[in-house]
Amino acid sequence: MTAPRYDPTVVAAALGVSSVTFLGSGRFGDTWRAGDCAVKIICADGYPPERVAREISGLSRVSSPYVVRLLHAGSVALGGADRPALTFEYVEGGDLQKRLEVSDRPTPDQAIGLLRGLLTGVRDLHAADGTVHRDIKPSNVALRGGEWEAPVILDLGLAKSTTETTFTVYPGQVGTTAYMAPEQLQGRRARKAADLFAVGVTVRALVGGRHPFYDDEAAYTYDEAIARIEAGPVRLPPGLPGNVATVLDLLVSHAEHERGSATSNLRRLGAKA
Amino acid sequence: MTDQGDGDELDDLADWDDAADEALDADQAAELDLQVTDSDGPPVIAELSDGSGSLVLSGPGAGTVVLADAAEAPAGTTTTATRIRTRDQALEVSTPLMLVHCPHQDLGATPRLLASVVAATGGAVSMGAVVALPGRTTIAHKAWLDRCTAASVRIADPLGYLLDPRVVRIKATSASALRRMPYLSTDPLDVSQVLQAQRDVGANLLLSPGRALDPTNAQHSLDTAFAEADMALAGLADGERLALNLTLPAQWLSNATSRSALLAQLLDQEQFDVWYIRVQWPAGLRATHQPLDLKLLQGYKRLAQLALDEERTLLFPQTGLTGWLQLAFGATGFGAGPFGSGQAFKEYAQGGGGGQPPVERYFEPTLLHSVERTVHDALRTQANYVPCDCPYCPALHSGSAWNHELARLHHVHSMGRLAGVAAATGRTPAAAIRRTVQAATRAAARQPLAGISAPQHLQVWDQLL
Repeated sequence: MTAPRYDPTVVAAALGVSSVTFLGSGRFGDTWRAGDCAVKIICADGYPPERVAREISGLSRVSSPYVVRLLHAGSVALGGADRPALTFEYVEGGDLQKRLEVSDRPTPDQAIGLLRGLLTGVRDLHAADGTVHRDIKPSNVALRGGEWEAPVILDLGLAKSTTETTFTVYPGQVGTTAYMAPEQLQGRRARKAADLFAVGVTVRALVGGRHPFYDDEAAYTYDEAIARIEAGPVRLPPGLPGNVATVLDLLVSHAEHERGSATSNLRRLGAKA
Repeated sequence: MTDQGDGDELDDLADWDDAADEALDADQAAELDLQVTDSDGPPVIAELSDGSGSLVLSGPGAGTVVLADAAEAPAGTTTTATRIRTRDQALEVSTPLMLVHCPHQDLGATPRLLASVVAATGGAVSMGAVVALPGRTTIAHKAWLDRCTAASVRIADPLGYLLDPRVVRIKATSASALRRMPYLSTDPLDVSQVLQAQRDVGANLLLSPGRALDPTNAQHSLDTAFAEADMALAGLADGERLALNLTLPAQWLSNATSRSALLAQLLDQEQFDVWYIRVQWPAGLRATHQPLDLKLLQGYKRLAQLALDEERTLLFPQTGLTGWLQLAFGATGFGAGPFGSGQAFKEYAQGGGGGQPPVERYFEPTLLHSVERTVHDALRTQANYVPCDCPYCPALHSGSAWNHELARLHHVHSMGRLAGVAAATGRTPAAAIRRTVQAATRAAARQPLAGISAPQHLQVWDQLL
């Protein structure tokens, strides 16, 4: 884990709490645990204010147990400047990236629960003014209470509503490459279908223990990555029910419309047992 | 006798006689009423969904007479098992909906036609009535739609594509059409005007403008059309419903790249639960014939499958039998009509066969095709031929002179029955339609059909089913 940008005591003082625990660091900021909350502090001076606004806007539109709850949006004085600070519920249980790193794989039943939870979160997100996350990946999914069946989608910093006018200039890539849909890799517009693709890749990676399209530590050009997606994913391990395998195959389709919506894929999965 | 000049070119919108607008040719309708027989079985009535009474579906006054109290009905009258469906019931994905496009003449026959399909299918098929807004005056449209009592869905199509002659091949819009519908004089058009024009004639399913989408500038034209539809959605009043209305050159469905862009956009924009999609067919397609381009038909199929998967109500106006086929794949409704423009949205071509007498044709339900009268007469003499028992055929076959109007009404009525084939056979739409097409293919193979009487589409359809 990358070291925090500020000393914990300084952060605790800025937040007005007795202590904080460092949770992680991203390109633009650090996330700290403060009591029952997780506080994301944007530290980079050049961080686009639109992204902060988007995250606030996206999260305020969503009400779902599968999407992290925003409690407060404000700022803290750190390093001689006011830094945007977003206070979320703290989801205890670790994230999917950690599970990947220790090769902790879900059972078929757990995988179904994980898939259903992620699709439900995406459905709820998409239902909120057409908000698209655009950066779903294992490190952006926490497991509430450590339960596979209770995933929580985090970090809507790249989220945008389809009713908004985008500020992104195309062509250009927004998101994390290994989980990007082919249309994102091509610099085209990332729509709801891109979130579905990312859910498919994420769950397949957890279930199969490896990325469904790319080899570990290999480097690919965008064209090579797209070609690998077109060639199809590695096969799923045995044991998954047919309808679940069908959904996981559809989600990572090269063509956007073949992936279906979160709602139709939830229907394919069937009612929760 | 030529296949051209059978009245299709007379059916172009926006070129009708203003003087005829105010009259609903009631005399003609009464004349037709006398010719039409419903000799089989007792009169049938169906309760109206608003509880205001019961609509007479067969016999005298069919389609127009509403009995305030069912007890007023003659002795022996039967009531259909279902009511005339409400708009929202008719738009449910699980029930077939047949849209009947307002003809340019013989308008008075449509109310009975709609009722006859409801009666023949026991209410299994919902009916819709569609006017082309620029084609007539508001008063004339409203009067016709008001008379279509059996229609659960009433649509006033704004024909926004008339602003896009560079994208779709259409006849120049007439001055009278522009006068009637001023929204066609401004580009970009005023969406609120478009909606109001539909409300004024009594439409109960509003459409977005329906501009034609340019496949050479795919994403931009999709974005523009969807933005207009979003504006329309935002302009709805309580209780109103909107269908996303798109007009597409055939390339949108036959070309894989264009089709993917279209389907991706439809999938992404979940706010539209009803899709009203019109695709332009080549000018060279003969009257009452179906497109044979497999790629185009595969595009239709994939679009219908997407609608099924995503539980969207998909309506294919102006498609006739090709639209009916899509019910097998997931479409909810299709449009037909007594004249060519109701059965197909074709590229406009100058010339044609003006002045030629119309071909005497008869739609053979068992062949899923219209054959020449001489062929029909030969088929009728065969031992195993099952005569049609629609309200129009007895009169049609009663004299030596061919009555084109009755033949057209028989055609549309037969298509309504075909729409109800799933309910009639207790099968899924896919299974019922597959069996119907297979049976037609076998029936056609037993007959020496040639020329315009040969149902060439069946072989292509077989590859899709």
